[in-house]
Amino acid sequence: MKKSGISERVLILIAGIFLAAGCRHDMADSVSPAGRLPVIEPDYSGVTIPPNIAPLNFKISEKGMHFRIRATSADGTALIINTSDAIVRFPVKQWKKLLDGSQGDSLRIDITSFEKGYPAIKYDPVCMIVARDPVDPFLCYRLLYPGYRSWVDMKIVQRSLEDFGEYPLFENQLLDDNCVNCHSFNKNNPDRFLLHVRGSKGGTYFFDGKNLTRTRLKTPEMPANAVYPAWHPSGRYVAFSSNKTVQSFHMRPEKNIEVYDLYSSLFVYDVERNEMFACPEKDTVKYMETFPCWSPDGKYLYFCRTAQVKEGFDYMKVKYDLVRKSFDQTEGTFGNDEVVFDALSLNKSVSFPSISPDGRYLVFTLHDYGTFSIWHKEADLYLIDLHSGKTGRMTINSNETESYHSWSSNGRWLVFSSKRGDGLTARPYFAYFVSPDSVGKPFVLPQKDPSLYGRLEKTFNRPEFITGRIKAGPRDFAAASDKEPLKAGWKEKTNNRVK
Amino acid sequence: MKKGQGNRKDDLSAPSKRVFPAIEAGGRFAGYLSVALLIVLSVTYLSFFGESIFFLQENNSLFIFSTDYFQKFCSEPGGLLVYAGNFLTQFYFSSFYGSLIVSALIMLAYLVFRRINKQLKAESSLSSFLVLLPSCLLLLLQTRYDFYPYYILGFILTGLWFLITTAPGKGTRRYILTGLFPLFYYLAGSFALIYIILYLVYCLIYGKGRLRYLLPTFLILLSFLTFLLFKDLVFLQPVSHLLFYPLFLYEYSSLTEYLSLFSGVLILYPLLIKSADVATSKIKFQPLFSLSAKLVLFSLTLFLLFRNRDPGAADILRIERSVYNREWDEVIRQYEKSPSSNIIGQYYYNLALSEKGELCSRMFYGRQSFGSLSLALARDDEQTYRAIYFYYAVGLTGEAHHLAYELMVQHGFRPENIKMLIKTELIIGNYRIAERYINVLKKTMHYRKWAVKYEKMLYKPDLVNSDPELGGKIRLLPAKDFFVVTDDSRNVDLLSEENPGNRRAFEYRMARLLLDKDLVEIGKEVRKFKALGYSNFPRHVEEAIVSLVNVTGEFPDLGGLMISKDTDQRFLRYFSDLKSLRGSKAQIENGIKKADKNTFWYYLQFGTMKSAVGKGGQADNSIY
Repeated sequence: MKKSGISERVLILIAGIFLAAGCRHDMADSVSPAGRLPVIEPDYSGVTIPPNIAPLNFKISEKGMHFRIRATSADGTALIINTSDAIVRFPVKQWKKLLDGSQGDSLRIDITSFEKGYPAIKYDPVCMIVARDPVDPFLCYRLLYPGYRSWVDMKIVQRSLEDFGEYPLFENQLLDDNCVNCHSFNKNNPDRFLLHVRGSKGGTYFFDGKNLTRTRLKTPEMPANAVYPAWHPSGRYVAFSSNKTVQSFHMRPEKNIEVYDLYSSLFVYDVERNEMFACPEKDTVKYMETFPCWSPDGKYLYFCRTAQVKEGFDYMKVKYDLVRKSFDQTEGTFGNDEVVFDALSLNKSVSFPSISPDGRYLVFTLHDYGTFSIWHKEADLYLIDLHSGKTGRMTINSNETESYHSWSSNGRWLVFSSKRGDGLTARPYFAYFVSPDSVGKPFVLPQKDPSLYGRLEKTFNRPEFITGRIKAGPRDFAAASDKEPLKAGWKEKTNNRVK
Repeated sequence: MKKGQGNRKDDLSAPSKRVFPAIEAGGRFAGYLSVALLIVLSVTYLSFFGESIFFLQENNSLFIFSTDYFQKFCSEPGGLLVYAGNFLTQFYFSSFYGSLIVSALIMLAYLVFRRINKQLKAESSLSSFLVLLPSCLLLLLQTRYDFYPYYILGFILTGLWFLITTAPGKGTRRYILTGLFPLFYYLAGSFALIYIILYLVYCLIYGKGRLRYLLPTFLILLSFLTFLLFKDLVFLQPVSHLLFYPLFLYEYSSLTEYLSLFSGVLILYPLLIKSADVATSKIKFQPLFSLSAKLVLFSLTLFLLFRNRDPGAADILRIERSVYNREWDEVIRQYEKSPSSNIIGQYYYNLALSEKGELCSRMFYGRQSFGSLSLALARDDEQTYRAIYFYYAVGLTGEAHHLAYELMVQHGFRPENIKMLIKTELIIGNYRIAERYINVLKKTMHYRKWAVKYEKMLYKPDLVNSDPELGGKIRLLPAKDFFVVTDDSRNVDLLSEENPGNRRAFEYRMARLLLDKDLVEIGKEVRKFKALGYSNFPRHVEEAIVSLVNVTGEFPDLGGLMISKDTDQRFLRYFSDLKSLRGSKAQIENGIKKADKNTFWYYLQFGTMKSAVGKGGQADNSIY
């Protein structure tokens, strides 16, 4: 009896402490308006978010011993959070309610800070516009150190965008620490993808929803390994470029690394026949071709192209244009090249073309020269209306690098790598896209711990939307890597220019 | 049956024997004396001779007080053991603290084995000798640079777990304790392998009744299931890692052999105790026998401790410590006091001279037997962390940053790579990234103060510019960009071209010409000194000019500077001194005056250059 009496008192005391802490803000005599938005990290003010996104937790970078956050949906649902460590974490269920009640409207977040001996400060409300179009539920990206040549641990993860679930897809320690790159999905389908592994367990690993198959695509006819894959929408073909890529290190502080190709050509893999074939040039000028991308109807192959470099070339004068060629998918043959965007005439260079699922818009990265935009601070995203040919710089760019990007399956969301946070590490940003004139303010992938980006040294590489969770994991890759790779054959195409 | 007595039929504990109290007390006293002697030996030896080992180990890890750092170690069996080891390693910045920690661990190992002896009811005089054996072996292992505290912790933990699971008790209790094996495996990693075999040996020797076979069978099945569970469901680690981490981390290291030897002693310990009991039961003068055995053990330990010492490596690491602390005068003093025949020592000497601006005026005061190879080290796996300092010193900050980053990726944060990253990011002006690293370093015990100093410079270019070290490096940066190449002499030349005011780079170039004895090229370069702000030639350059004039009879274009009279006089004195000496090169080397030896002339005449040791060829920079 005595024991329980003590426990009771302890409980009352603890409850009292909590109540006292919880009521502290009420003790402030007055509330004065700040007359400005609060500084929050990540900056979610004014962003457009999908109705199924995970809670946008944030950190308040304002002075205060205690903060009171009131989130109000358009339909009046409210949630109050009190925090003394300036970290705001929304419970997933209540966040969903807030989003449900704000679709097509905005979610308002009021922040008030309290400091002993001072009047409370109420900041202007942070508003987030909640779109009606959902985003694909998963994002797949490679997580690695953003530098130079070395790697130790490298992984590809799939992250739920509706909560904070993160599931490994590939972890290189299970495959002799091999390097992994270029995961690519056919129309955002988690059951149809491939990725490349380099090293002792090397090869291209194809997943068909059930089986993982290790295939060696490199044939003697190809100058180098196959990289930068692009699935033909039919799922039968995958276009690759075969590149000899090298890197050099700058000695001026403005730049770190220069990655460039010495030669590169396009090849196509016929998944059904397990055959590679070339995408040859008819032109008398020898070109370097890279970054293939199919139009959603499968009738065109877009890619980046520049004249073949010669020994002693000036890497700053290498400029890639955006080019396309028609494709007959029944015959597997190509037509002539046509320049879609003449970057050379603007003294610029194009990389990473990516077309919206409706085939109307093409987003590419434009930078001063070369092919590896992630190390170019000036790299920005541009949009071409493929119907009108009108091209323009997107409003979602920053002063830092914007590089790899991909579309959601409904064509309403664009995810892109941006180094706007610190200039070194890329983070995935999401932008709502309605038309070239109507693009929402982008927001960074929300994290359970909002201070994560401040201390995470790794970079998010090649973010890709997927419509569901991939049914394969690191151990499946380890098992597939133990099997002898399937070797792709080579098919000589004599009638590649018939169309 | 009394509580805790256990089922006699199934009891695995050794039978008890009666011992006379006086003998027991005497034995205990001898035991205490032995361990006291061991601790004194450990503390004394490690305090005096362990400095380089502690320095190296402390610099090979960086313990960070953060959840992220802790979580990294939770993802694999044995990770927490390494975490605990790294926690201890952070105190190794002081060899005194280091010696206390290691000695305490050795003491702990002794206590664990003493307790094991007690549990095994060891009574022979030889067993009191055997209990000292693991501690002595651990002390000997501690003379190795790659023997980290987590090894000792792992062995101690294995011993403790053995004690727990073999404590007298009923069958059910034993099954429960043995059933906790997955927890032990998670904590100890590959040390669990040693435990399994140790337990089997114990059961076979000391086990009785059904449990003698049932418990080992249970443990084998459980360990097999645990391994499968860990491999297929819990941890994303390869099989080899799950089996051998952290005990046998380095495949080709001789440490593996020593660790295997020690593991063998541990595994066979119950057998050794049993054998000792049997073997010594017929010896008449057991205390004398025990004392002799211990004396032999201590003498052998002492002998091996000193035999295993590597004074050359210790010297290099002592210099390295001064380099890390940027105590250039100390580096120069140490090297000139005990010149090294090792390229690293010579490299650090030249680096210190360069940082002091004395490269071309003092470099021949110390031994230069590697020629220009000792100006910059090869950027291979072994030497990259040392090669960085050349790039930082000369003004190739981008390359220093590049290499520091590569090292961080390969080995994680270490004090020197994160410090270099912070400094180079501040020089470059990447304050947001510098801040991230500073925040990491602020969460360490020993480097917090250092981090706070640099934190004050964040987002304040004026402060960075006015800092003697960082500001100086900013002024050494190339004005125009270029790509770094694998040939460092070319890098220095490119830097000189792109920042003609970089005296550091120019002196490195001149030092290379001096070390290569390239008088013709020196003659072409000397005219540049005045334009670089020199009011007189550095001592060794003057010596080279005098040599050139002496050989060719022609004066090079001195660009407006003069050769000092003192140098002319020294040259005449050098030759007159040399004439008075006869005999072999070795005899001349012994007989020549120090003032004559510390000259370019002596190097030109007698200096031999070793071949391109350790220089890598053209690297393949292909990335796909």
